[in-house]
Amino acid sequence: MRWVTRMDPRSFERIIAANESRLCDQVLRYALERGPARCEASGQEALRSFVAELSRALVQVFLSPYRATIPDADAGHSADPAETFGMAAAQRRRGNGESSAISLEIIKFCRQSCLDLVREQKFPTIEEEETLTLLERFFGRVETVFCAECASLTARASAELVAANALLEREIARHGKTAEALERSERLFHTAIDALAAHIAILDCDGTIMAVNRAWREFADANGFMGDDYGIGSSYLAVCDSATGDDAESARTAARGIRDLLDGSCREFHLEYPCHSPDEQRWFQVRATCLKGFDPACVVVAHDSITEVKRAEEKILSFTRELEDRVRQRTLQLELTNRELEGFCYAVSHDLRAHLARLEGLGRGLFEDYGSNLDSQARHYVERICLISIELRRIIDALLDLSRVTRCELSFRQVNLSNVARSVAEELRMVQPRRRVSVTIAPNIVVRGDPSLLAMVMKHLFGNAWKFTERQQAAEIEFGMTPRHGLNVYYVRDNGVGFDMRYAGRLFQPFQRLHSPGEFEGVGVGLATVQRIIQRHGGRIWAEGEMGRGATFYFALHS
Amino acid sequence: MDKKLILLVEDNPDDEFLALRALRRQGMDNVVVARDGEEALAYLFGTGSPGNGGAPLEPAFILLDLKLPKINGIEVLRVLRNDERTGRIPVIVISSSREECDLSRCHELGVLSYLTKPVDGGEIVDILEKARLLNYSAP
Repeated sequence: MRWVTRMDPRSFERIIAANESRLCDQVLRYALERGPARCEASGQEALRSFVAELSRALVQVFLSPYRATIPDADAGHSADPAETFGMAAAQRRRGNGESSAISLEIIKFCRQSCLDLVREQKFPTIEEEETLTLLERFFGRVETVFCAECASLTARASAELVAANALLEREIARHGKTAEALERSERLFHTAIDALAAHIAILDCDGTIMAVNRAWREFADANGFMGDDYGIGSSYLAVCDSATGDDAESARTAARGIRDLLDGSCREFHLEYPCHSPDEQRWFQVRATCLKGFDPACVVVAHDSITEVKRAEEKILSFTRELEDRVRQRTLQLELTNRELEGFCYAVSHDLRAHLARLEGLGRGLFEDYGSNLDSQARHYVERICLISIELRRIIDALLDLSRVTRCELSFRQVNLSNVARSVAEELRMVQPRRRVSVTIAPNIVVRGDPSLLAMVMKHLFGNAWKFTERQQAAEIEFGMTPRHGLNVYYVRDNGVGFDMRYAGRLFQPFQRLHSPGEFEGVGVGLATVQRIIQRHGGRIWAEGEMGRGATFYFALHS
Repeated sequence: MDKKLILLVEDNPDDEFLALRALRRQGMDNVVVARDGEEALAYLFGTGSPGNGGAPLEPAFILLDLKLPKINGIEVLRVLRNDERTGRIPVIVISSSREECDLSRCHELGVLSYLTKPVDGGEIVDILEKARLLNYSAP
């Protein structure tokens, strides 16, 4: 190689060494301009040392006997000093974590700087050319090594990138699914609350509205709501706190309730409140519930229209009031009627009876004082007049009894019906001592009722039994108790003439008789009176019988 | 025959006639009749002279109707019972009312008996005998 001999290697070394710091500054500036270099002190130092390394290697190669052996960049050569340096430098830089791509850039920059430097020195053309060739070759080899390093690094990096990409794609797919599920759940949530008729708002832990449903939006639209986005994002509590007018009190109560929910002092709260529009009376119920499992707390506020319920309630109330009024009026009327009736009864009792008593007394007087002067026909007339007036008085007395048992106040006490039955039977025996009647009375039958009225019941039932057994040779009367349908049923049974069950319904009607008047005495009001008394005790009376085979009267009290 | 004085307080002439007849049949014909409550009280307290116009005498017993003009029977009873001069005179009520309220009020005011019309002389004698107010027998 000719040029090698002509070139003074020392002068080249000098040039390179003298310009090393200039080169370094240029590299740094370049690196800063291009941006990839780390600009902190350690990065700058690394660049500086790399430039120095390059310079040293260049000078070394230039001075070494092997300089002529540096082949073209394209030619393969194993024991080439430039390549040896390049490999070592690349390895070092890799070990230090420097980027081989940046190193390659810097190498390219240094090559250009060195070529420019040599050209600036104005060497003789031949020398310049040789030096330039040598430089080209040196840098070409080093670049080749760094290129290979870069390529291998890139391949590794790209493999890593592919793997990372795949991972990322998997992640994205997974997130995609999650996002889809999330969106679905969100849609479900909105559809669900939209389907509800209540006006719903969901509040966060500060009382700020996070979501509302369709009913809420429609109500806001219909009532000229002025705020933004149906109140979403604004504070529900602040709205309640600042309410004025008729609604202020219920709004503040609602705010208190929601605050209690949010601070955990209660779990649910509800309030009914009026919310009248200018042309409609309306009522709502607000129900606020703290959602479980949310931290911080979350509250659902649901407003339900209860206008229909309220209207119905008011209607019922007004009906009730009207009814009460009517009942009051009727009661008043009834009281008046009752007083009239009482007056009438008193008049009948006193006046009618008084006249009848006179008729009876005068008739008896006529009979007793002048009977002997009358013929038998006349005596019969007088006798009939007396008997009929007595009969009439009895009828009136029986009717008055009937009306009295309907009107009088009951006083409830324990009544021993067995004892009552015994004394009634004794009285009957005293009136007709000659009759042979076997009376059986079950002992200790005690009931609760009005003593005088129940005595009247026993008197009538025993009286009837006594009367309708009078044709019996061996009359039998029995008083007892038998359970029936879970009730105590009392009965008076006789073996008298009995009755036809077809007419059983007429037994308890006043003046309805199942026997002809001449057959048995009595005015025909007794059983009607008995039935009234039993009814006034909340009970029931019925009879069973058969013609010629006796009758049984059953009664139950307080059924 | 004991001619004990009896005061009959009765406004109705038929009833008066029947009562007097019933008493007479039992031999009791010393009877003063007052036609209303006012007359009865005036007689008993000596401020008037109904009937035969003589000085007031304390009757052995009184037959008292309830439904009377001016002062009714219950009122008369109340006045008698509240005055020591008349408080002990036996009273038999003769009424055509069988009303429970009349009966109970009369018994509260301490009547000897309560009879419903028509009056039976025998019944009156029975009552007087039971109360040991009679020391003569009927004819």
